[in-house]
Amino acid sequence: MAASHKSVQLLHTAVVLSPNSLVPRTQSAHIEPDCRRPTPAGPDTSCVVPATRVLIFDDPGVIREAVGRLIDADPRFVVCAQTDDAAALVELVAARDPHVILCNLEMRSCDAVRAVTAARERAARRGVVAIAHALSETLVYRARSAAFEGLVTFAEPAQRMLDSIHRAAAGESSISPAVRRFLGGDGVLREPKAGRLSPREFEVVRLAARGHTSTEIAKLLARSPRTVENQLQSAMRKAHVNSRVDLVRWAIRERVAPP
Amino acid sequence: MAIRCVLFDDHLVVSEALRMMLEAEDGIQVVGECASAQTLLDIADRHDPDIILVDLEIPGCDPVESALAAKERTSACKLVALTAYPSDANIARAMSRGFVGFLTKSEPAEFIIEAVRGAARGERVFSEFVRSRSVNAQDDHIIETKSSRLTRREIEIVLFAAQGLTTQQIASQVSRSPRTIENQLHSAMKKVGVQSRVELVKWAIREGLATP
Repeated sequence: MAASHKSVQLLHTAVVLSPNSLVPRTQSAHIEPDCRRPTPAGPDTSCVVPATRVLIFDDPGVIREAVGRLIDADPRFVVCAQTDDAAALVELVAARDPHVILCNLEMRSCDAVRAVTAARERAARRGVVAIAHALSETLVYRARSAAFEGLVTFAEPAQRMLDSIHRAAAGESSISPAVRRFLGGDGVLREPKAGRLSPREFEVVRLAARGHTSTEIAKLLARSPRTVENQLQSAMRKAHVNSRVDLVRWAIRERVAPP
Repeated sequence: MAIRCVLFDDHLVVSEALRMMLEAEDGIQVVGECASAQTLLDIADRHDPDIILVDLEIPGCDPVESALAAKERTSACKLVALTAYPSDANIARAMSRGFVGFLTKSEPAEFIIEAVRGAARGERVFSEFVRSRSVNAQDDHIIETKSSRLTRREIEIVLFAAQGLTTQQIASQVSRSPRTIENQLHSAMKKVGVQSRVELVKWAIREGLATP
């Protein structure tokens, strides 16, 4: 009890001392100071516009940081957290309360679709914008099936990503031209040729493509090696391939895993 | 005088984000972004850049040769590779063609910014990942690449494996015993530094020896 009271007090102090902050004291206990963006004009508190909080879920590195700064520079948004950790994502969504999650579909560390879906189940509805370097039938199918509001590529102008984030915050979906060619003429999502891998099969394929043996995958997922083998066999049938190497090549082509 | 920097990358989100990041730094100016070889030449003519940051996966052109052509039109431009997938072949090629640095996109922003400054001062700049794999620590020069250490026969076997052929199938294809094939695959894995056949195939794909 005492501890939480103190943290609120500290938060007050930080807000009041911050030269840039125009957030009134009464609100500061409920909203993190860095989640409100003061407009440059005048000290009138009515000009404080709540910005859309964006959480970036991507592998660490210069691209994530630079994209974070690009989003931050847009007056509509503020980046409230960045992580590549699926477990941390759930906690950060609860703690930082983002309006929109921007997730890279080609993350090395985990299956982004699965992690974001899990985080979304635990918290109230958030907008999700998925981004990828290039798309594949499988990536588009998974992102659309997961009901992510936005899907864009790094190859498109940044404005498209920013607008998708803005629309996702309002609960609107947006489809970029790069995505459209993966949809049928009627704009409806097509089933990928490779068929629909179950989430469990998908996870096993992703780990196999990262170079793990069946025994290692079994350990990582707490399944029996036999179950893992069966899931790999089933995935091979759906992907129309005959060997593990071909399954991994398929996963690389479909951008499920990096080479 | 500010360091005049050019971004050569076909991913617009990436180059716009990098531009904003670099422009926020004192003494660094981004004089152009481009995704094609022709635009790169135009920028080189117009701005006489000091540094070109080159992504090595640009469709429709050979980024290494395009950057070299642009460099020839400048007074003292330096080329630095900035890529998501550093392959031994790419590292060796870029360094032998006069690039002064090789950076991976998994480096933090601060590292990239310092590398740009370092390259402008005339230093060679490498990501640790690159340095540990292919650069001689003593003189910062490139050492032989892993693919060059494989024998011709080993490369042949790796390529068959990368096409999804089983040991048995490879053996009948090249009229050797399955045991010889296994030995050659293991020898290749050891040289490349991987533990499994799948990783060996991925290595071959990364190196551009095989297609996925």
